[in-house]
Amino acid sequence: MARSSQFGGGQRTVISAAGVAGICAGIALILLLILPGDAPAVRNVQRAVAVIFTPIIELASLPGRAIDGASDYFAGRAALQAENATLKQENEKLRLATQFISQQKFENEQLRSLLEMELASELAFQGAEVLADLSSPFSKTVLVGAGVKDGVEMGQAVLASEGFYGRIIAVGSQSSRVLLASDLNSHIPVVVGNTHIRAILTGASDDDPILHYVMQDAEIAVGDVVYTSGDGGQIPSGLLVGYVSAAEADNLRVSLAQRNNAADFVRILRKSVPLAPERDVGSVADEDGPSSDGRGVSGDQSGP
Amino acid sequence: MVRYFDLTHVMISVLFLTALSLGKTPDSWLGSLDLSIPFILLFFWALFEEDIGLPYVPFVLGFAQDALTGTPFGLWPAVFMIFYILCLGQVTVLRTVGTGTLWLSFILLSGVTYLGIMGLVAVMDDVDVSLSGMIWMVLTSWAAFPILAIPLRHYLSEEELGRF
Repeated sequence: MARSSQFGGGQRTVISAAGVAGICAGIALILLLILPGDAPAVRNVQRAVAVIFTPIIELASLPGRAIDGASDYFAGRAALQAENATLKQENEKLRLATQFISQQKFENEQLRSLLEMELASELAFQGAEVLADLSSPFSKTVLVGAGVKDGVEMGQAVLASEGFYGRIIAVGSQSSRVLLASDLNSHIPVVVGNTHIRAILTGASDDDPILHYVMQDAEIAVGDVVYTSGDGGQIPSGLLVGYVSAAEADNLRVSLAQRNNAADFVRILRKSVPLAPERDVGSVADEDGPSSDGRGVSGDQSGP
Repeated sequence: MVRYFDLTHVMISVLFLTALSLGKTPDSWLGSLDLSIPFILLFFWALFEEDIGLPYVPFVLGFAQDALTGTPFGLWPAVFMIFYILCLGQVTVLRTVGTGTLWLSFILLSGVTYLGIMGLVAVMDDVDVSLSGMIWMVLTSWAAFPILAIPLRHYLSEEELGRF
């Protein structure tokens, strides 16, 4: 059993290592059971601890990054050549896609001007590096290097190179935590396919989250594209989420376009979609009954 | 004479922090290590490096882990401490056994701890846990044990011999 310890070389036995560990375990269990997780005070403490430990973790992860860099270095010439060839192909495809998008954008602007329609909002992005992957069996989150100082706010959508990645659930002064779409507590309102079937995408802790609250007669097929619906007002509509990978009645799954652990840099959408007016000022709503902002089902975008 | 702060403490603290951070390297195979290495380190410290200064390291870093990952405050310190106490209870039996027996003991003790985590989560309303993620974590920690066991055991045994 543990050796007894003494203060200052004196003879009085004070406490053993097991005793210290027992007291620590007791404190931790009491905190765990009595502290409400969503209390502002707890969040503030968590934020403060995260602020202190983020640079330390970043520093301590240098050996890991070095090991990772070394394994990349020794990956071999052949692998690099193959990767280079793939990148050239992708680059060519992207050039063509950019041309197509430019044409579409021009045409879109022309049509808007014909209809005298103003854009509801222009999306602005804040780039950020992924500092740490904080995923565990309990949560799927990453730490990104942008915070309050960069204009990051709670609930903002986060995109990676392949598509929708997650949303901000905690903001520090210089870093923020992103809840990934694959987390068990992630609920994203989405539309599926060309028919825009509405559903809620719930994380399943892997790269294939589940579609919930789908109408019974909805026709969904494997390969259908899934976009964010914008319902709920926090996440803009039209962001690519993934593709339907299983379309059985009791098993509707989506393969995420942006896989979990494959992002080095992300873009945070700084401006969210416009919300409904705070109060009705016109008389139209009173005459027509309950006011409507034209939205469909209100999506639950709340986190844990 | 009790040691509150010496080179071994610093080394162990840095090692534990580095181990926790290894699993946080983004876009890397190291990310799959999660919390495997810290559990192995705790096991060896409990058996070969008993000192009252040491439980504070996983205790404090457990809170940091909670704050960073968003798990309920106190979960990881409690888990680390319970595992540490379980290991301390086996010191007299396990200190002289071979690496194979140590490995089996680690599998048993960490298995009990992981089951305890699942039980703890089951009684908490606001925590979900991925069963597949947990099984993966258990398997990686069991698989990583022999790789770390030889250098750790050698270093910590030398340290013990040198001290007495």
